[in-house]
Amino acid sequence: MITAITFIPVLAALAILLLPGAGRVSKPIALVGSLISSLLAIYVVIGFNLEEGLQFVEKYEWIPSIGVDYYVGIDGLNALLILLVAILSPIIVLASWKIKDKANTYFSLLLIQFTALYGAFTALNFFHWFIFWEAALVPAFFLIKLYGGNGRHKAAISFFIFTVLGSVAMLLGMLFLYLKTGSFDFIELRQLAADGVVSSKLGDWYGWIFLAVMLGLWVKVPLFPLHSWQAPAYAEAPVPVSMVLTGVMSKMGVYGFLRLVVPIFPEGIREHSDILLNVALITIIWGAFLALRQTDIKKVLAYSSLNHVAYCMFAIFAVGAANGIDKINAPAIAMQGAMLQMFAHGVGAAGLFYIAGKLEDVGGSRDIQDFGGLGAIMPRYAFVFGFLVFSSLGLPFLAGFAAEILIFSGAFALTPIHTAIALLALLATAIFLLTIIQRIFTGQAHDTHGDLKEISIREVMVISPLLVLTVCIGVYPTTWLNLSNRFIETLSTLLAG
Amino acid sequence: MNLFDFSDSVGWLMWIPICPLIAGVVLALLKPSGKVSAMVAIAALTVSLGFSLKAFAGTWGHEAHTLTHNFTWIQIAGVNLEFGVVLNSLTGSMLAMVSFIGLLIFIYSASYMSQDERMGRFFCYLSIFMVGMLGLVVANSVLMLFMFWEIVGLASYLLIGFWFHKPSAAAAAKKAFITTRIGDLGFLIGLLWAFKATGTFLFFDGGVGILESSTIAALASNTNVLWGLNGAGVIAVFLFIGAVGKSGQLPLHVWLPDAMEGPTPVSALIHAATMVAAGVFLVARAFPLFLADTAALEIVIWIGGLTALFAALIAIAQYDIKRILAYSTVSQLGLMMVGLGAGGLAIQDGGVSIGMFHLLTHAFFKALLFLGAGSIIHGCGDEQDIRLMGGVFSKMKISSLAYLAGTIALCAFPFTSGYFSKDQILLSAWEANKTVFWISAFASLLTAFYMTRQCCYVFLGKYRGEGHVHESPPLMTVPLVILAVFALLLGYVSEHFYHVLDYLSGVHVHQHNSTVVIISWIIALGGISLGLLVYARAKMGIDDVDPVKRLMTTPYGWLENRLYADELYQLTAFKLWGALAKAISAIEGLIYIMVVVATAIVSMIGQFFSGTIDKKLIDQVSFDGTCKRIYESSQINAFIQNGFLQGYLRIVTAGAVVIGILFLLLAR
Amino acid sequence: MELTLNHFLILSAILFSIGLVGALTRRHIIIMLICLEIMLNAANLNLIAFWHFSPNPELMHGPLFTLFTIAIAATEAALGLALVLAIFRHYQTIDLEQIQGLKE
Repeated sequence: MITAITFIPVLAALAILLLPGAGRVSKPIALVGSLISSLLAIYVVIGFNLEEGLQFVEKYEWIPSIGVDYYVGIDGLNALLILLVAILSPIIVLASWKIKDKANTYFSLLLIQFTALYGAFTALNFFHWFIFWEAALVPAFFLIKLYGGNGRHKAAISFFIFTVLGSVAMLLGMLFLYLKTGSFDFIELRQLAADGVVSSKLGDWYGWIFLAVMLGLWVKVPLFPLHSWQAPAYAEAPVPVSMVLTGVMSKMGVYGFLRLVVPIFPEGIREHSDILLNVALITIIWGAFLALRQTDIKKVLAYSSLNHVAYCMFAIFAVGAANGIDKINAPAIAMQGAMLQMFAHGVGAAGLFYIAGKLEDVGGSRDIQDFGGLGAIMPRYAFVFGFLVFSSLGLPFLAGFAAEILIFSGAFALTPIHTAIALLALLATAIFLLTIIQRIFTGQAHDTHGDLKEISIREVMVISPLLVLTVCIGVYPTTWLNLSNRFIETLSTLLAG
Repeated sequence: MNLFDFSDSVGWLMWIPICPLIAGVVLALLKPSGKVSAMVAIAALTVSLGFSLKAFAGTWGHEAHTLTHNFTWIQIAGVNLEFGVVLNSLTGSMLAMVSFIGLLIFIYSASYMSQDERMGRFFCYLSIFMVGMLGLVVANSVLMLFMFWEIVGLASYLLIGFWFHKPSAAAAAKKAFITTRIGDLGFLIGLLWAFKATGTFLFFDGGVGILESSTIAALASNTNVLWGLNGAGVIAVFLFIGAVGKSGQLPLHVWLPDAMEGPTPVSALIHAATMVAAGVFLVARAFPLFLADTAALEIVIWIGGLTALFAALIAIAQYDIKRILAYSTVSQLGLMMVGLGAGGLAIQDGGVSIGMFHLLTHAFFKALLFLGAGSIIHGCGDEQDIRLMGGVFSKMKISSLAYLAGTIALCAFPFTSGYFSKDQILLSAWEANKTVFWISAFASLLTAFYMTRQCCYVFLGKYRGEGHVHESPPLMTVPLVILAVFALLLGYVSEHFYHVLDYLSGVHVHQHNSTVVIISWIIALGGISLGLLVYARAKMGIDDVDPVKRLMTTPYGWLENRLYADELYQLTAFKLWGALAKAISAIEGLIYIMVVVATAIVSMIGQFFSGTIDKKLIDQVSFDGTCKRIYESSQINAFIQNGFLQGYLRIVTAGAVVIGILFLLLAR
Repeated sequence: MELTLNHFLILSAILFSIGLVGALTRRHIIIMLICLEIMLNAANLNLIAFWHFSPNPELMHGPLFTLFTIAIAATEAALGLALVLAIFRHYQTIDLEQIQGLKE
């Protein structure tokens, strides 16, 4: 089942590329391909039994001599993220509907990307996990480089160099770990770590391997100071690709932390939790304050995304700083907050990029200073935009708040001072987001805006699932949290020591 | 959550915020015409009012009773983050006031906004506001209270910026949201702290809620947690920061006067009667926490007292009718804080009723004043400058009389509602802290003075503006009359109200002190007569200098400029914030340059590899070389394999000969 | 003079050489087939000669072999001629110099 979910998009991509005449119907094929995958994935996640651990397992020997299996399954950690990919992928295809040049290549790259994302989230063996991880990178590179904005070449190259360097470090670290422990299997490695085998086998190398594995994820999340690739890449990528990057790719880093680093190197995180916490905190503040001074709307959103994803890392590292489990189980709350934040931010940020991209479509500029008074001309657009902005700045009963309050509730009990400083970013977020609204929508309309068109109903339909979801997450988060509840309880206990 | 059990549980309280929510969603999605929108919103709020009155009636006579109904919002690893509703006399009276005044203002707005093409949107926002306000009143969870608190903030943002085509309105909306958000961060820390310390978000939860005596005792036993406060005091102070933001106390008061950019009913509903009172309500709700630490109460009275004085001073020198009322609101909110703090210091548990009662009376007379001002502004052709009014009394009798009723209540003229409530505040302050008492007393004197000044400007003399002054339609004047009745007479039920509001002890300690009563008479009458003395015969045109300004030009100039609070923030906080952002951007720039350099180096190394090693060694020598050899050798092969049959045969023969020779040689 | 094995072998070698030289040099494809036939018969002659001078000629190995070879040679000739006809039809010549289809 999972294999089918994973590979249907790539089959669709092959169909677009190889079948004669398929080029003219590349869009419907891409839509159908991603939609089938999505529906299957949603079906699987609905069938996920909350009372049990790993489910829907498929395990086949692949290269037995080096312990490589094809091993996929769904547990509490990836269920929500698979759901996220499933929800976003058809919307992203729809958001790309206006692509005209080289549409075949575009859609096949996009579909390959979806396959890689599904694969990376379901893989339980390092070997093919890494293949998918890298495979997600390559289409993104080409999509930015071929279809991006003016600065696309530079952005694509720095994106590629950063992530590849990180990946190489991670690969080397994991290979070393394999040589010492003889396993590529995440579940097995986790058990080995729990039994103390990992730390005893690695000995003095523990710190280096920990660092190497972290580095790849560090870049992907990204955390300060390895974040500079992010803003140009998000800003220059075509809008649907920005949606993929911010909606799903940035979650891969956090997911990697929870899948690899936390179970395998819990002592490493605990030992360095103060440094890591400070790094996450700096990233939070950094993103928020950088966004304050931007006028390019996509850059603002990119920095805002940097800030929001760093909250997840902040929660994880705060758990690392915990001393055991207290009566309110703050570690579990913080980590569940991180899980929900991944989902909520994925949904919200993808929506924001989509709707911000419309600005460039209709007005031909990404600079917020070129706009004004759109509220009167495009009320529907203003409504959707404002909705997503308020979700992003943490308005209660919308997605962002539910996740952030969990993170803060947990983290405050663990590290009050860090959390109090992190709250400053909430203020900065409110300032820059409201400034955008003020600039774009209020005041007198510019003379040049006379011919601006309201967004169509079709575009509202594309975005509306995200809006509905935002409300659902915000009003009753328990539905989504239940998916990961059991898993996170164990994981946070493991990390909190 | 049990919404349909109307007898045992109090889950039905949730209907009070849900009704306007339904209206808001309907209005947002269906976008009916303005009139229909108004009717939908008013109908929904009427239902809410019905439930609110049921709640209010239920608390009447059951002061110390606290009924709760809690339900789980999020469950994580066996820990519940709970929501709930609470019904006690505080909830009951606040609900009744908010929905009653809300309903009057809705009705007023239906007429006031009837010319606006976005009237439907306006009622949608108003409904959202009522959701938040009523939700925060019924909330039994500090988290839930905070969530509705933020919804209120959103509604305030939307309504202040309702006429967003005016840049000033848009800026004021943003300023309001962000300034209150600064306070909200304090609130957030407070609630996180409470969760950390008590493990629950609930106020009342069968003995283990935050506000229940055992929890408070446990919190207070932790002395000197932060800044010399005890465990309960810290939470109280952080919550108070939230209240400071929402209620426009010093130093976060700057947003409230600007918020007058919104339509006048909004100013009446949100920025006078209800939302700004939410801060006071929060302090009243969390009052046991404040009681547990006198230092927290001291902070409350000092902030409150200073705010009252500061705002009253500024109000003297303003010319915008709504702005004067706005500063007056800030000042009165300060007095409410003084009432709560001083009440807590003077009579412990009973203190909550002192601030809360002023909140209730103030809500009525200030809503009345704002709606009256709206009516006058409407009558004078949307003019807000009092220098361009004058002589309005004879043209708009009902509005003016209602307005005057509100004014004397605000001035604490004896036996109006304001007199009873303010009297109690001064009494408590007298007991608690003499300095704060004199500050509050002076602020009250100034209140009487500036209100008289305003009335002189507006009602006396001849009309100085242009056009024709006309009375407003009955849909606007009827709410005014109703509010006026309440503003004048609410004091006579004060004894009942004090009783009802004493939800903590159930017993009211009646305070009496003849000195204070005499002082408060002097303040009210003295302020009014002083005002009349100065302004009754003064020239008040736009070109004339205000009489007080003639007397003390420089200090009056400061007051006209609102004591430079905004400018101060521009110079300090904004600069600092901007500098921080600039510094971070600069460092980011540096990092980016480093990244570019690193990328360049990497690509140079790459060039080296691809240019030298790759191209020369691997490509040319190894790969290309091999290919060339193979190609060349194929020439030879091609020569041999020429398809010439006898050629092959020759080679076969030659091979056979060679093999034969070898065979012969080796066989030897 | 008595005929010994050597005489036969020399005759057979001469025949084989003639066949070989013919096969290598002659351009005409039918001549070449005939030359191949000569070489085959040289080998047959060898087989018969070795049989004749063997220690126990009553076993009849040599003639058997030879009969087989003759039969094969006959089929080979038939096939060869059929091929020649096909080649002629295709190329309109049977000059081996002209038939270099493999090279192209």
